[in-house]
Amino acid sequence: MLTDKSKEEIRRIRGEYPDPDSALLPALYLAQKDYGGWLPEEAIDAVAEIMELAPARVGAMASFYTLFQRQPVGRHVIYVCTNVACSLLGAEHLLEYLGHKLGVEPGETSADGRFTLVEVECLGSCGTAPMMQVDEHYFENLTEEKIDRILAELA
Amino acid sequence: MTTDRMVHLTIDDQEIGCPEGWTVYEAATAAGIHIPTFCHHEKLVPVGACRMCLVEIEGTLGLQTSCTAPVREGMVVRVHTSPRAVEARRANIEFLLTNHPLDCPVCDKGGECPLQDQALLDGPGNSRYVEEKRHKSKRYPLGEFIVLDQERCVLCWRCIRFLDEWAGDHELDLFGRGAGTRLTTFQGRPLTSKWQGNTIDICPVGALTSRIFRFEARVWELTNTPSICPLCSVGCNTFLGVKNNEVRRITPRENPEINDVWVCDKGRFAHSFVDHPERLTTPLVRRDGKLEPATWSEALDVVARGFKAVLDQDGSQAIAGLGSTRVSNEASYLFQRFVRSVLQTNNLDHLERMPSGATPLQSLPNLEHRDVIVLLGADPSTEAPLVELWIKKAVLRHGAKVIVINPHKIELSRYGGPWLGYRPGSGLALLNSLMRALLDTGLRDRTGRATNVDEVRAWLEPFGPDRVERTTGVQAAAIRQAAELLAQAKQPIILYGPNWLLEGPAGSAALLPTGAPSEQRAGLVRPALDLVANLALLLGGVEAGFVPWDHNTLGALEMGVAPDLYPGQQPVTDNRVRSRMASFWGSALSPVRGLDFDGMMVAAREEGLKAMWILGADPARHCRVAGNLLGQIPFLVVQDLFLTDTASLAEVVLPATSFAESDGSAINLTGRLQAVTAAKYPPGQARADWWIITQLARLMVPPKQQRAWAFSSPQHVLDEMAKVLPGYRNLDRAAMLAGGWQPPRPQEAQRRVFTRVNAVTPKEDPEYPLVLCTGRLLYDRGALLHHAEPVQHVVPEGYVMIHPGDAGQYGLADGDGVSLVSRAGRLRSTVRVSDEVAPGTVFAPLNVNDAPLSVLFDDRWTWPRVQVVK
Repeated sequence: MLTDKSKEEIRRIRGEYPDPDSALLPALYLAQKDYGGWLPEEAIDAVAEIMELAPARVGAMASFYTLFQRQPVGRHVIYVCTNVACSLLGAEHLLEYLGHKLGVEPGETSADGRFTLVEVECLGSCGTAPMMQVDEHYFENLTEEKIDRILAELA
Repeated sequence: MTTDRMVHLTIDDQEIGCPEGWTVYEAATAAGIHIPTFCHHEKLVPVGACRMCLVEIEGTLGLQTSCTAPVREGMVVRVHTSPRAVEARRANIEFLLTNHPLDCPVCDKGGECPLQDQALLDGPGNSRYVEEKRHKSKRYPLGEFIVLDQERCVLCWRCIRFLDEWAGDHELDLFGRGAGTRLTTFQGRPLTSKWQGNTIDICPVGALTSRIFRFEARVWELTNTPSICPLCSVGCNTFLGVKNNEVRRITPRENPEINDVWVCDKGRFAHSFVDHPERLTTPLVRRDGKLEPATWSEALDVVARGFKAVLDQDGSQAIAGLGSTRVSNEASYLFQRFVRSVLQTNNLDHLERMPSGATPLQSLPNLEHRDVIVLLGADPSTEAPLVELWIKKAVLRHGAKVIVINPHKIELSRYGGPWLGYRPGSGLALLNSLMRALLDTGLRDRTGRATNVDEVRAWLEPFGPDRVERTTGVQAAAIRQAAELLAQAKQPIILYGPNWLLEGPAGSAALLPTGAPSEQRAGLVRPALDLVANLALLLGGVEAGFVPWDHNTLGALEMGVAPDLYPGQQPVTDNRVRSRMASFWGSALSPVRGLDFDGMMVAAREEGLKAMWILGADPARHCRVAGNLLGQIPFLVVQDLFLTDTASLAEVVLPATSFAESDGSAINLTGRLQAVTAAKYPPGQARADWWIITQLARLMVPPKQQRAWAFSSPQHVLDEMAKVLPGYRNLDRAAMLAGGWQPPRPQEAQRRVFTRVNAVTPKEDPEYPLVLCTGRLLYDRGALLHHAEPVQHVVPEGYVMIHPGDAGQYGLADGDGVSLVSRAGRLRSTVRVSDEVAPGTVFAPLNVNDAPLSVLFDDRWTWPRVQVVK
């Protein structure tokens, strides 16, 4: 359920724009946090109601961005960029490495429920490719060893 | 935004002048230069999504989408003279076709498909694409009416934008991204918008097609006849697509004054009653107690002899005619002419009569420019959907507010305007307190034209919003909010419907028995109209328009199907008018005001009514008491499409034609006269109303009057109407056929005086503590829709809506099976607990149960008081 605090915050953000559509991304982020890292149907309906938008509008927006999850996820979500710059520097190999290490295909969640692996397009960090985003943090200039370390530090 | 300033530009070496604010696409189109488009639609806000309208504009880098590029002074545009633009558009078609399935031979859009047309016009002609096409869902039902083929979709946003911008029902959207983008609803929820059918028309490919029309015909096999939708008072202009003498589909026909380019789903999908197997196909005559098929000559002979026998034995006062708000003007006109000149009586009426003193709405498109719209006992969403669409245009594009005054919430309550959910019967207190609150806001000097404002202040003194809270059940704050909105409104309008007359000031207050004198009933309608007029005057003499329910409500009255009025609403008691009519009709006429419907029922009870002809009405179903009394009339003749409850009681049943099978005309809610054209042959021996009436008259009138009944077509009837009706002298037939003709409106004296309306104290009945109010649903099981199978799937089961407070008090929960009990009868139903109905009131929709709600009614004029028991 959306916390009262989030509802309040969503209303505040909505008020900052002439067009409620503009406030959808931050609103969906708040909802995604409240709902354990993903957006079930109920979350979209809840956001739509506060924003006075149609659920279809909100759902479509959530479906467009890879940073919103519409399926249950692990405690952490790993977004691996495989766009041009990252791919040239071995991103596809790293994605495979991660998949192998976690025992999942992109889009799946590891058996222990810790990690969800997602393949995404450019996250705007080409200068430090290859890179991945875990939850809300960027990890750059990746190597296999670096990945091992990062994963080990995450509960 | 378009301004008055002109801009000059060059498109393909052609000098063009157009208003500032136009787009390049609009300027080119106006100059006759064709630019292909998919996403652009003249009724929708441009998005520039499909890239089909790319043109070269000198001084800009890439190619521009002409549908979004505004014109500028001195601009040089190349559409067909730019090789780059031509090539880009050709390539765009090729791209679209890489993944678009080549299933045109089984696609319903084939033959009227913009993608087909443009592939032929601008496309490459062959495909270089040999890979596997992208696969998505192909036969995906989006609800009861539409099936989606996601593979055919070109992601143009037209359907999404229409539902969002016009209908306010943003139910469709594009989900996902890139090549995987899909058009669908959120979580696969079914489409519910009553406007969804329009997305089929505007889809530029075969992605959205009709489930009702699916595989019924190739579009080039259809004969499209211009017609008018008969299902509500708006009279949307349509085409009837007929193949093999069956109506296969209905599509909207553009009329900017009425339906623009749209039509509601009821009008579009509910046509199958026309070709229903239960249509009457032969006259029926009662023999040995049973209705049996007969030939026309047999049946008409029985009717003629039956009427003559009554005339000879009991006189003309023992006969009556009941017309209809659903038949054509020609039928109504001839019907009253027959009853008056052949049967020699003014015993004539129709149900759902337009209240005298009510004025029609002046214009539909003008609704867009109203900033506050008051809906008084009117629910356009279910009663007259196109009115809703124009109101939504005002709300969605210009921020208009809607004030809803109704015992139950309606769809248009969703736009944040106050809902004044009052107890039926307390309308006087409510409107008076609204007026009082308006005066308290220090309403800018709008009342200048009224002569007795000070008196009004005094009358309204006891109606402070806080003081009426108990009587009306409406919070003072809501009344004050409505008053504030109205006080600031620049262009307000009041729309009121038949329910206001029932539930408004009188409502359940005066329980009149059926057959009470019509003056007494007028006494109930009058205050309702006076209250509306008072409010309109207080707001500065603003428009107050009546929104009737039926197709030809205005026509029935205008054609004179009334005990007191000749055609053109001229009084029957006026000697000069009467002698004029007598000369037109070749017969002396009765100078006596006739019986209205309730008078007829009294006469039936007292066995004074010996014969009755009912044309296109089913009072036995809609009025319990009438049903019993009609059975007592010795010689009942009914003319209809189906064997209705009323027809089952008749001695003779005459099979009539539907709107699709006969020429005629009708008058819509704004008073516009529109032509209806026959699109197919009637089933079996069914005949047009005008033909039946004419034939019967010829059987009955003496030889020297035969010429007065020499009509050979409905056009001849219209010729006579044009002479008889005072306003119709300058009838413009071309205009009537093209988009409707507006007869001159009678000059009404501007009201300048507030009318004091006296309070009637509602009678409480402790045993039956709740008031039942009813209303229409868009889709129901009424006379015609009952025979329209596709829409029957979306008719809900009967229910009774009750306020949570009342539900608690009577121990009722959502879904409980209950009996609704009134002093007149009882009915099974299911409870819906909802705060969308005022406390002390229960709402049950009309025409959904098998047993009609009329079993609960004492009469047709008042909401019954009921108890709800488990």
